[in-house]
Amino acid sequence: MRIGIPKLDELLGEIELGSTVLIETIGEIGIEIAIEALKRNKEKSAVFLTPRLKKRLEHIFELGEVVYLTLGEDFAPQELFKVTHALRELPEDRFIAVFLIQPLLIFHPSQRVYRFFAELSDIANARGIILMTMIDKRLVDERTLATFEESATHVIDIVEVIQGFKIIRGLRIKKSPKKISGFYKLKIKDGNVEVGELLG
Amino acid sequence: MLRSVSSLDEIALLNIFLGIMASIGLAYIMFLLLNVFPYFKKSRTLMLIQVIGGLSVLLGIWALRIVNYTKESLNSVYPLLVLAGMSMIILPLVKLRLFKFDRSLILQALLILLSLFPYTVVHVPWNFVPGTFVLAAVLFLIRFPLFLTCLSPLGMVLVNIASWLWVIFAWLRYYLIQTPPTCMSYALLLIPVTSLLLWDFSVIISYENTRRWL
Repeated sequence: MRIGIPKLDELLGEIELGSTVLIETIGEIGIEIAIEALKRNKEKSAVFLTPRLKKRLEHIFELGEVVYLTLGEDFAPQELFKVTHALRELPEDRFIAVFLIQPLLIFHPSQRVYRFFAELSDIANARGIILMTMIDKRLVDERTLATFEESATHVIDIVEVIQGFKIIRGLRIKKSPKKISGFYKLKIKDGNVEVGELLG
Repeated sequence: MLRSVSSLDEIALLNIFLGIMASIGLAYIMFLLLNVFPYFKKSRTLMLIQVIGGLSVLLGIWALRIVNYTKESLNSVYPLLVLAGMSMIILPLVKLRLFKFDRSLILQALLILLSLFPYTVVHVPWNFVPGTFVLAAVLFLIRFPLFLTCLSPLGMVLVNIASWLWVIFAWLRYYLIQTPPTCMSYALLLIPVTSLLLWDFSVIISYENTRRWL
């Protein structure tokens, strides 16, 4: 599978079935990467998300065919088994975006969320599903982040640096079966993501 | 009897400031919980209990601030309002397993309750007794953001500092009864002011993070 962002696809290469892609970010920066991947694979995509994000995605015309499973509507935070069950029931060869890790960290201890994430990753691996998820790295400590990275096959790291009056965003491939990379300039404008030149 | 208000009464200003800080923190805790509760089934009753609890605490805190300033005799209803309100906020959280009685919380609450010890040897107004329980109850709210993963590691450190400052204030507040207020009284009031400022900052950040992710 390819995400649909040329430079990022070049850096990541072809994402094999059964992979888990973790986006480590600040706030929600880079959610557009997952949205872009959903647009590109809309016929075979499903999303686990919060009602607020569902409202946002429903306004994107290209995501009309995507299946939504919503926290607080289809399952409560205490019903994580429903998510794993739903993932097992989905047809194989799917692209699944899970925007639940950070919300679940509000309700559960990080160890429990990690075990849940590891289980999702195992299911994805066994069933040939590609899983993409996000974590706000400011809200977890380095050890927790490292445990999440361990269960992911690909890790995309997003950073934000303030230089003078300018905010510069960067992206790198932190973990990948192919190769890791340095930081590349990340531009996000009107929901469009562009990965630019290598930052010094 | 009401104390006469001079044109520049720093104690009054600090009391008002403390009340405002506590109210802001409490309001943001309530906003944060309003973000969290809809995710639980059959949570409307619990939410209603919490809102009533929040209003009760707010009313109690302001009444206590006014009593503290005017030196009127303390009506036992005011601390009860705070304690009952606090229970109404915390019990639904315990039921939903969002509140944990961790070791630090128990230790700090015990230390605050132990601050009653000087009361047995020093002659102080009786309102220090219910006041101690109010301080312990507020400590529960100060530490609440730690139980949700919605703060950065730095934010967690700030909450810990705020809670320890609160404990220190509980032990040193006996110096506040000196009249007329001395320089020490003003310096001591800066401890809860700093604690509440750190708490407010952390709670606002927690609210913003939960709002972003939920």
